[in-house]
Amino acid sequence: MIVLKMIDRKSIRRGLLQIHLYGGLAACWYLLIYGISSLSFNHPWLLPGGTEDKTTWERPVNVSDISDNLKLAEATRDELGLIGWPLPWAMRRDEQNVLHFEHSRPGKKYWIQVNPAEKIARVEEQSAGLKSVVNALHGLSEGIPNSGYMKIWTIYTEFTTWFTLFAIISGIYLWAGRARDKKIALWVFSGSVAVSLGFMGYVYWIG
Amino acid sequence: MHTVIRTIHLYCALILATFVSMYFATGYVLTRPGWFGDRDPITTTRTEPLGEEARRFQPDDPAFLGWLKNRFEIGGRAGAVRKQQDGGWKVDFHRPGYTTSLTIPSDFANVNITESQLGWRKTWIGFHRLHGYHGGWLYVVWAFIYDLASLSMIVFAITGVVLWYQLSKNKIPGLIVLGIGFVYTLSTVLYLMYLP
Repeated sequence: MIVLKMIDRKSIRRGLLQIHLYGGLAACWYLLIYGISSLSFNHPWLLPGGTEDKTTWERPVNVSDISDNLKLAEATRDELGLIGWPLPWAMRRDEQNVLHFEHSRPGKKYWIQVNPAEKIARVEEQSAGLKSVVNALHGLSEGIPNSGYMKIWTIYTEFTTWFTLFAIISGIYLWAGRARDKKIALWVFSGSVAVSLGFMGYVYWIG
Repeated sequence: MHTVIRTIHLYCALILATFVSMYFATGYVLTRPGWFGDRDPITTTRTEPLGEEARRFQPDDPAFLGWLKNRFEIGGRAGAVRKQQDGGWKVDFHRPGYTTSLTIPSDFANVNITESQLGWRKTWIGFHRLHGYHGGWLYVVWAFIYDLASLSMIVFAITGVVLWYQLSKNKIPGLIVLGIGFVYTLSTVLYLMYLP
């Protein structure tokens, strides 16, 4: 009975280690993105932003004269085959009923003018740089409008989030099974939990 | 060498487990606004005289903001001081769970203080978004721990791959998993950088 229990425990440990190892290999690239983007939020100079260079182009668009600015902007985006979001706070119509709006997505910025009467869109685009891409990938869980490809990243986000929590717990369990590491590491862990929670509490209640 | 790498991997996890777990839990709440309900802020308002001492400051002087914090026992970090259309000034102090808005008229006679205690969801988001080396020693220490937690993600990833490489006899399955992840992540970055 005891032998069977030892075998079971060994199988559990082996299984957990395999999941920890291979899940970690799958998640490691996202963890690098998390780490680099988090550092970038705290140190905005870390990653290169975009350049000042702009490219201008125009294209016919088959859009109706929609009175709602956001709906017209979205229809224009779809006709142009762009991904991303028109910005509602950066829209205006001029006297000729031309809609001017800004459009945004990770990696690029656009300034678009669409004339529903002439059915022409004029687009100025500018690179937003590696910083905007890496920062946007941090925890991206809702995808980007018009991009089926980015739906895969949302799955990767979900997997990495849950796997990391699993990895912390399984890692501590796997470590705890090795007696010679236990004592010092237990003190370190207990101390860090107490200090971390205490510090968070201090920020919340005292600030 | 294996023992050194394993020790680094282990102690990074032990020291930063609480903070890393906090960031993943609060990040989950942040990215799912529809899933988690929240209550309206609980707001209290008071008006206090500023006194002659306040007139020696300029409104956007950091020393003035520090004076306001101590004088009226306000917690949190000051945002930018904004001039109002009526000539007065407004500044918000933020910390996870609380926002305090101060409105000062142009004659510096008094200050209107509105304190809002936020619900649990906005409090969690406040913890997640707290960064930057400014606002006093408390927030500098927080920013430092934030940097350690960020670096730990990179350390976990690299040391974890090294440990797998040292532990595995058959490296082919792991190399396939690693390769797929690398190609996919790189292609996603390039897709967003260069897609027309």
